[in-house]
Amino acid sequence: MSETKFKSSLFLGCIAPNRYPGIEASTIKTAKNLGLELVDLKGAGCCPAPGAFGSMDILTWEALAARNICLSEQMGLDCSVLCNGCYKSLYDVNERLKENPAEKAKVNDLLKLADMQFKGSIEIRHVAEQLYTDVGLKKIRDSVVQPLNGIKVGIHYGCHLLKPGRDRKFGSAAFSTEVPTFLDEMVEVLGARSVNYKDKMMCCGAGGGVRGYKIDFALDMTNEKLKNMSQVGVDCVVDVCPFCHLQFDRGQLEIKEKFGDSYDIPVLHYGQLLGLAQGMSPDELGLEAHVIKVDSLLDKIV
Amino acid sequence: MALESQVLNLNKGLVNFTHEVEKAGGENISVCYQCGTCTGGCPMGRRNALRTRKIMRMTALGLKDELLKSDEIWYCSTCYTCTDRCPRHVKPTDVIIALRNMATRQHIVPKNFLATAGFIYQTGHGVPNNDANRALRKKLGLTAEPPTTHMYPEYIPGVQKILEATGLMAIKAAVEGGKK
Repeated sequence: MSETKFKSSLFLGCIAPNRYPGIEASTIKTAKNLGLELVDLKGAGCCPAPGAFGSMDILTWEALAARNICLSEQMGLDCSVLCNGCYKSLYDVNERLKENPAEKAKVNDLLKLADMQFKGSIEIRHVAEQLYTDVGLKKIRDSVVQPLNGIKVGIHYGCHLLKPGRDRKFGSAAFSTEVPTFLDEMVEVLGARSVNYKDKMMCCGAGGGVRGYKIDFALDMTNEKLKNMSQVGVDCVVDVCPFCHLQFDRGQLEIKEKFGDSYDIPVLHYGQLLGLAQGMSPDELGLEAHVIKVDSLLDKIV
Repeated sequence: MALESQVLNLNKGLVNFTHEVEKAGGENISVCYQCGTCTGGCPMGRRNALRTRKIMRMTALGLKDELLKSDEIWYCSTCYTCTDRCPRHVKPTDVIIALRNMATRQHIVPKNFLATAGFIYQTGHGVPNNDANRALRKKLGLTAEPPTTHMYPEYIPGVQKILEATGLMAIKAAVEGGKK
């Protein structure tokens, strides 16, 4: 166990705590092993979903996101997020309100109804980005007790962590929107192999409310990505977004029912892959909640 | 014939619509030179009628009614590839979001979006907890309810007041016929 060097609040969102709690548990435990303490953000809710809420009413989206940010401001802590969609809502709204006093005033009028006020005093971070930037590859490598035996990983970055690039301030080529490398590097220090595949940066298809509106369009995109990954023989998909995670995991069942295509490729959030490498058991990582069983992958690791 | 009627419709009111979209986050529409980079990179447009370039042109031309009634504006998965690649710094994704906001105010909004608003109004979450998940959370050493509005429901009235004050719940009620 390493001493705590970084402390922030943990914004859970909806899908991780309420559908894939293994993502929540593994993220908290693995981060702790790396000196990153993630504290409960009491009373937080939906980010709210940028596709659903931003599309209906920008001001409602900003106000509900700002309510979550205020909870972390009240604790005096930066806020860590483990979902790309939540990251877009909280990061974008935090920056917009910091930069635009008129918008901030409008949002603060609404926040009075919840007895809160947005100050602009904290930063919003994605846990994956914190692991790469603050903790560093060396420390992640040093935490590995069960190397992943060169398993072939199809990495899915997801959209809203990196894009739109002009709104982000990562300042490193590893976070480029067209050819990012930070997650590939973080996977490879665990002893796994990131395998390149066609249209790796393509969207999972679920965002923007499309999963709910026209699920066939959303699944068609997911199907294309899974086909491209299966062609290079990946052992699993690794993501950093619970919504993409749901789309790849649950989506495989839906794709089989609707289109008849079958893949059976296990899907892991990075926290779960890191947990396996840090020697945690599949039970501790909540892998049993996944629609696609992970046994084939575990056989190759242990 | 159709084109002719659209050209004749380009009056001041329609140009105001373009400015309205620009103010709502779709800046630089007027400098779009129709290169098609947005449509070329769009993964959703490969499988349906979504043509981002066409939406940008229709917005610049002020074709408000056609845009707000079109299914296509709801097809975008908001992946921001078009926005990232646009050589003129137009923000096509944000244009589409601004158009969706306007459509919503005219009560043109898909049911699944309103359903998400309903879940948040009731629970604070767009995807609330369930019994199978509670059992798994306990097995993982987590609390049955996460430390969110689920564990601290005293925060839900604040969420509800915001949703009511922006008028979104009134739109939901009007579209759905009174359901909250």
